[in-house]
Amino acid sequence: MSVRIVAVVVPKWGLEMTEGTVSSWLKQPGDAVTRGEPLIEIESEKIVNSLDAPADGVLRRILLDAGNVAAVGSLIGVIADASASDDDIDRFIRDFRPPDSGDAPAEPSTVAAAAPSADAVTAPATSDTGAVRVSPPVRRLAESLGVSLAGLRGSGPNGRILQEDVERAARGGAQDGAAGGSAPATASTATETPRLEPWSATRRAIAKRMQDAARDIPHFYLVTDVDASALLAQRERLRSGTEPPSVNDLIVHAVTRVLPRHPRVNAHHSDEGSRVFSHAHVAVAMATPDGVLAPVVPYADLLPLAALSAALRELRERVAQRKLGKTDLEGGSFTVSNLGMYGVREFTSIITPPQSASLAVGAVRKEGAAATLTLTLSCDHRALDGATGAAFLRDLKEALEQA
Amino acid sequence: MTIKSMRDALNEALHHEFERDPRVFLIGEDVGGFEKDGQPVEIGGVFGVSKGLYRKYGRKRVIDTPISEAAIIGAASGAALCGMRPIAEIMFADLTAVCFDQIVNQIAKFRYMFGGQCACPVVIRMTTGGGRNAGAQHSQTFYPIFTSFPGLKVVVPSNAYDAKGLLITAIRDEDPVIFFEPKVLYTEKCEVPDEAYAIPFGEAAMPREGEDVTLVAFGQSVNWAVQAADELRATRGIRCDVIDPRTPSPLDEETILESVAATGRLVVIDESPPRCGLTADVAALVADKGFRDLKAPIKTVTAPHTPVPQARELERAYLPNPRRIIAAVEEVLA
Amino acid sequence: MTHDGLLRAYRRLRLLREFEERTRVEFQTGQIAGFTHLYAGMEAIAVGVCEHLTDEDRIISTHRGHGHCLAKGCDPAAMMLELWGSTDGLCRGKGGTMHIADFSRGMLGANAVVGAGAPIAVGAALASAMTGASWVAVSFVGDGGTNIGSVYEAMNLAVVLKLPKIFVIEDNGWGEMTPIADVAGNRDLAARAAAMGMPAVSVDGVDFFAVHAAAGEAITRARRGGGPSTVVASAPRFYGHHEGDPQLYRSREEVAELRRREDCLPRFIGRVTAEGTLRADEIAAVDADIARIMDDAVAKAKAGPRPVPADVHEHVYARYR
Repeated sequence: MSVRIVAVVVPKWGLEMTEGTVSSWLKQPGDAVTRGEPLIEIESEKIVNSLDAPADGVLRRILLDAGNVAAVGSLIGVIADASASDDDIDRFIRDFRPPDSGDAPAEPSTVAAAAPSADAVTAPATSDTGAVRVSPPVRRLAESLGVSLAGLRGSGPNGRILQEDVERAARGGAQDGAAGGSAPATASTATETPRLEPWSATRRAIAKRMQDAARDIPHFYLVTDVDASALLAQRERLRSGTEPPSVNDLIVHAVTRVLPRHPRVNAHHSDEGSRVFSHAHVAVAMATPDGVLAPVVPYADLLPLAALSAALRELRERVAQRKLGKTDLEGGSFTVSNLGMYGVREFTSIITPPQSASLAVGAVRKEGAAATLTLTLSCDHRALDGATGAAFLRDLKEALEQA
Repeated sequence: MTIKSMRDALNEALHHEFERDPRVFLIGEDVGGFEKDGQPVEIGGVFGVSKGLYRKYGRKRVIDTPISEAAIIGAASGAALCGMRPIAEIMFADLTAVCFDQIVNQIAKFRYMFGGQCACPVVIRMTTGGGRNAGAQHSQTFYPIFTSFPGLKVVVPSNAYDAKGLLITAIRDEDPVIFFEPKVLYTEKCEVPDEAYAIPFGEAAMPREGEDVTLVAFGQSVNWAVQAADELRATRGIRCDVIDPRTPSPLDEETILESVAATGRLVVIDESPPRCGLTADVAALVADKGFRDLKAPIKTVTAPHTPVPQARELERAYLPNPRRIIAAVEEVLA
Repeated sequence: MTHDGLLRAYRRLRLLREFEERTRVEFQTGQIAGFTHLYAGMEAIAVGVCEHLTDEDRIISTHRGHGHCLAKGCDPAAMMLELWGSTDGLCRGKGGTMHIADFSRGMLGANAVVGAGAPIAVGAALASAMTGASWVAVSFVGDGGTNIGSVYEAMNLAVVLKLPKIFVIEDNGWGEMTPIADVAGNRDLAARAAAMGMPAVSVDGVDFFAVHAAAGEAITRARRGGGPSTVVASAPRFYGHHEGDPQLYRSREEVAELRRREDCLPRFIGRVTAEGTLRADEIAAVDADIARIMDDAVAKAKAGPRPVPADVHEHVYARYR
């Protein structure tokens, strides 16, 4: 029997990717698909990318709905000839085995593969049963008790959902069936039961990275005030141009000129040593509904102001349209964050590992005729001492005040 | 929900269904009672499973018969063909050999031979299995035999809860059902809901879950498998999926194959003799559809290829037990 | 019997005869698969009994079931289609000659296991009694079947439960290929039934009117709650046990003699014409009509839709999974 049935699986985009979330299906069961045409939007950590259909045929089954996550290699859909019977498809699904992904946690210091989100996110016993074992009798029990398996944490090995997990959930108990403690699924307080807003993949990745950074990096902070009048004047001068740079563009531009003179500040931390960059590959923080992303402008020190400004504008647009690629977030040597547009006077940023430093820019504040903004440099004390960081900050302040 | 014996659970099922459907009736030997000096004397079945029915419904719906297995089953089938819902009782599974034709040539085939013109919704209940030293002709299982006949459904509960839910389903089923009651389990108790509930056919129960070995067992063997699994977990850290298919026909293949896909190791247990039995049937299923998941050969634990002996020590040696199951698990893990 | 009743009875007799004669011819061309067991010669028994029955009354037959099926009112074309194995047959081609049935007419099937029908028909009678209905159940069994246990179990149970059940024993003198005298310890078959505790009579199975009278009495008794009875009717079968049976046990001359002396149709015709209750032209008209019906039935059977392999899997269960 030569009926063609093709698996649609969660792709592996990048060495570190261990799971993907279906953002949306672009086709519905019954639709014809052609090989190479976009089939699914899949979100991994911070990126949404479209997965192309691996073959011609008809999309017969969707096994992972939008919003759900599964491990790389998991079967999430089935494309087949129209002549394939439902029984054939059922059998195919039942017999499908994901390839051994062999994922190992990535080395954070590997430059080529490093991305701000380079930490290995091990596939937990996720809320999706595509990755987690549930025996048919337990699945049937869940159905009969009206217990949803999505979001249920199994207490069995490898997160297997056991009968007791289902029974507990049915009694209104834990969704976290971890041995030892069971926090209630809805933290009901004496006042009100709050509504659950589940974490997106992006948010979870950010959370993990921030937690690791806060834990692993001994931060210290250097603060300086900068006379912003030169910056403002420069901006005025360039205002009449076709696409005038913003104050932040000007600041980033200055950072890219100063960084190459301070290699330790423009480096990746590793256990062996500081991996210093010759060029400024600056990551600029941009806000999205899902969380902050910091796409990278590589070799930014080589770009004239207008080109840098254009590059940042283009990145901003792509962020807004959720069209960032994986490489857009990789390879940054230093990060600049600016909360000036929110009127924040001063703040500290958490360094994005494996970078060694990060700059937080506050709002321009006018005091009479003077205009001042506050810069805060976060430094990894393993790589940098106060003097090293301070030297960079002094040079940056000088550059900004002379613009 | 209260703790009940399997006998009482089955009795409740009968009462529920008698009340719900006036077409339901019971026919068999010593199932009802008789009149003595104008008063009803209830027998309620030699194992007491039908107690209370004769007193409540009388001869109209609880029919005591002569010792005529062929006539009992034939009458049940004829009544079913004419719209009734009979429950026929054969005292011991072994005695179905006496009315074998009525079950396998007639009841099993009516719907098919007559091109779907009729239904034969009869339930034939019988005690099954060893453990009561009842001897060679009153201790056999017979459920493998009926499983092999298309047109019949076969049910073997291993506990009181399943027994009640499965009997209710059997009585409501449009197809003929052969319902086996392991006689040694009539006194076994567990929590059983007081209300009527129906357990679907073709869905296995899984009294234990584990990742190391799959145990599939039928009837009273389920309890031995659970004991073996508990001992292995406590003493050796070996964890087993224990699967009780509950209905050899239709068989829950999915649960068995899913488990073997996870564990890679299978031991099948049943107190029937080894040839042409359910252990061979399940082994063949997995060897066919689950071959690539297996990490070790399939092991079966069965009675030997002998009739059932009567003396206590002999019957004990004949029947499977947890120790033999543990040994088989060790073999598949070796 | 009324004029219409007699005419109807003759129609049935003629139909049974022509159906079997035609089946024999067609069988020999190899178009009918399997065995076939012809009822020719015994028509008066089936018709004599079934003329008392409605669609609600149930009958169950033996492997030699065409006659009972037709006598109970089943459509000859649908029967022929079944013999041909067509999906338009009574059993969708799944039963064939030995399992031919029509539940809409109360015909619970020809049964290929000797003696199996008796207990099943007892069950039907039980259903009637339990629901307080007035319909009866009739089982037919041959003389060969009076030596099998299930028949006596059925008789005993019917007596003990006092069920509306009639046992008809069709004694054609041969249990397959062995004469009844060699295998029946008690050649008096009615006595064997009576010994089980019910009224039992023996009648000449070639005489439609004798069968009709005895059957009527038994059926009325059953309808009125008088319990079961047995009617033993003796009649020859003109053909072998099954088509293809070389009939080594009787000579051509014997059979020819039987057809001359013991044919229920000329017997019936002789009586009704002598009594003036049916006219010759009426009889001829029936003959012509039956011939036409048989031609039509065979034509339909030959042109009937054939089953496909997928049909193998249908009707095993109401619902399996």
